[in-house]
Amino acid sequence: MWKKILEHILVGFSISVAVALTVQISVGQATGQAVVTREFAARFTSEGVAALAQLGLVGLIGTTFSCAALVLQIERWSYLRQGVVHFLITAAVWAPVSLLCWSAASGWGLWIQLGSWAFTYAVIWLVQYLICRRRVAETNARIAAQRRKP
Amino acid sequence: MRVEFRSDPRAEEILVRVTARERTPEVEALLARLASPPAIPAYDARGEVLLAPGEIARVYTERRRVLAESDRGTFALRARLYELEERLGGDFVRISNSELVRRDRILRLDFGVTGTIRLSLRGGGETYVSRRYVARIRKAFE
Repeated sequence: MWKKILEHILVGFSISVAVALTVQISVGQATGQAVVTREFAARFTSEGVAALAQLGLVGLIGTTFSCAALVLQIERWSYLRQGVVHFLITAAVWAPVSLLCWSAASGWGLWIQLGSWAFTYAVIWLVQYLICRRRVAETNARIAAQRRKP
Repeated sequence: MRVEFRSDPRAEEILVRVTARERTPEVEALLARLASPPAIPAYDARGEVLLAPGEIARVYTERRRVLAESDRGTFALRARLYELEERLGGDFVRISNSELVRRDRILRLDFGVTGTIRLSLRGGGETYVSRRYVARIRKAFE
């Protein structure tokens, strides 16, 4: 289990940092502008340090999502329980980090981030739920059809 | 019944040919036995028994032990689940990381409100299916 968690940490962190780094370099070269928001950069001594800190935070998001995926593999849990726990773990990291890195800080900011994440998550969860329900119904139809065969 | 062995250096696999005047129940039983995977040694408090794949309803892991639920009771097996999956062949279908069920023992699946998938077995009993294995079960009934 610990080996699996370590694997997820390494994969999640390295992939997310690689993607963020590619985006940062591409956006920086194309627009010649900073890849961090002014509010975020103001928290650090220089823009370079801010960009580095942002990379670390993106890595944290990647690690969290990668490790939270392990929750979806706990077979004795229902899909609802998996979804709720997975959502709480990812939201706890995604909302504050995205607020810090990419949004203008305001009293409502955190709630807007959480709300948008909850909405997106609920839609994806519901679609997956309905797909699975349909597959189960199809499987039952096939089982019944085989039973009717002489 | 007479048993013969014929050596053939060109043979690529073992071929068993049954010769008889007609397909009597005895011949049918022999053919079925030859075609089915070999019996599996299983253990309980009384000792060792040989379980024919046809009498096993499901094979599952529980507290790191591999158990087989059969018409004669529950027995421990000394093989890993993935090895048994290979040995038992297409008559069994994997329904979760820790369980195989004999295909013809599957009665139906029930999708619960919270997304749990319950599998009812012919002759009573039920178990749970992992969402990730529903597609495999569906394919097994194609």
